[in-house]
Amino acid sequence: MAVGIVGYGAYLPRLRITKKEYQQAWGNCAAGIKEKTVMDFDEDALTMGVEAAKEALKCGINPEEIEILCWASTNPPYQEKMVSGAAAVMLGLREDVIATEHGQSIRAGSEALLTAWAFLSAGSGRNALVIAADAPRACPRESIEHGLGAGGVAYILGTENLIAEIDGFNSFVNEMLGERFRPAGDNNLRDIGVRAFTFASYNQLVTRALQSLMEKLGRKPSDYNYLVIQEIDGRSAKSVAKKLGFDEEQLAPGLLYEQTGDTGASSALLSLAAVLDQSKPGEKILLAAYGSGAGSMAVSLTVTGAPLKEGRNTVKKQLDENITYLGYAQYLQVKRYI
Amino acid sequence: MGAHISIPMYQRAVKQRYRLVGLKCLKCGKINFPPKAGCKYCGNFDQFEEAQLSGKGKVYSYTIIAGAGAPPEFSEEAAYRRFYPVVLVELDEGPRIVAQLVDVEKDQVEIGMPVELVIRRIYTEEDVIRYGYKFRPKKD
Repeated sequence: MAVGIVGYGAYLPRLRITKKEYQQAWGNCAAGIKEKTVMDFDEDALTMGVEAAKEALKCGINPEEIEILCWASTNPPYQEKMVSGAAAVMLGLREDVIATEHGQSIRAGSEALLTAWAFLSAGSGRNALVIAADAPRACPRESIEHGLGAGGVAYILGTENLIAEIDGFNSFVNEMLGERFRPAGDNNLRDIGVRAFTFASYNQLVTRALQSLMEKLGRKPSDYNYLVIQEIDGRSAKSVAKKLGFDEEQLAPGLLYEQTGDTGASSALLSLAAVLDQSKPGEKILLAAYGSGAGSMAVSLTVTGAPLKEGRNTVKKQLDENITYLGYAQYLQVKRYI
Repeated sequence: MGAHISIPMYQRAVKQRYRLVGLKCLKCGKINFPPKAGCKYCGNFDQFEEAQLSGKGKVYSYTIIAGAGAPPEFSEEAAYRRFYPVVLVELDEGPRIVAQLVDVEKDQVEIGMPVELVIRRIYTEEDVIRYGYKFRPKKD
């Protein structure tokens, strides 16, 4: 039984701050962004995730038909309290929905996707909703803060009328000290501030996942039309893709970082949505998610026949339309840094 | 002076506030929102069924709340926004309800403009986040 994507939706908040604002405020912008997405004062990961889920449900699946809900965020509204309950009431899901929540790293979105896939493959339900939404935080004095964006994405998985089929995946874990982490009880992300160290960790874990999945499936880079690598900055994904023998055309459709910044747990799946927006039946997509110095996973997908809904709110549309720019002082306020 | 709503009171209305569930009167067919003990249109007290409202409607009237005029539970948000629109929305199903209008500049608000529901944080009290409906200009 093939299990795959039957619907999806993205949500990018309409507020933006540009690189220039950072340069004026701090003298430099440490992130490879042109601009990035910012949540409004009354938004959080839950409200963004619900928006994305409502867009995804436009594929025609009734909320009551959702039997599995897998949620992911590294910044849920409460440090301890399930988000699924509120999300289920907001979306009109069943009370007996099988719910799981993921959030120990920015790999969480992809973990949620594969968890939902596993439940469906085991016959535990017919339709699953995956929601990943995030808006990472760090101390505004730290350079790691400059690249942090916000966004949400949702997927409906099912067994009929598939847009794309999941045809393989893997997962790797390893211990790499000092990469992106958040101490217990702290709201702010940290790293040790050594870019070469971050890249070494990223390169090792992401490359391992991608290479081993291609080996397992007997494929090579040229078998894929698209490559999505979770972006942690403006260049690391490009560098890994090049080393592995992928070209720019395969990578470009999923590159969002320059316009959104780092959207945390929703990042890789947002890039996948941008790729699906322009994909055609028969095309193949390879995706790698990164779990900041501790893990990675790869997922291989084949685009199948189900047509995409006309007039859908594409990632590109949300990147380019209905945008409001903030000044840096406004940004500090809306992020509640001051 | 704020309009304090206790946690138990908010809890009772979670389905209305999170998803706009109203009550359809089975006697006169009209939809009551927010749900009341009796139908406000015909007085029926015992024959109702839950009705999911679409969240779509039009601005019937509006006002702009200046920062200093905001109730205390909204003061932090009002300090950031300086002013924000509050609208009386006539829902497609008939009821008129009051809510904030978001994703809009204050000079863009117009009577008759189509709006759609969006779930946002309304305010936080006792560290408990109160989510609920707001509206925004309809996208498509």
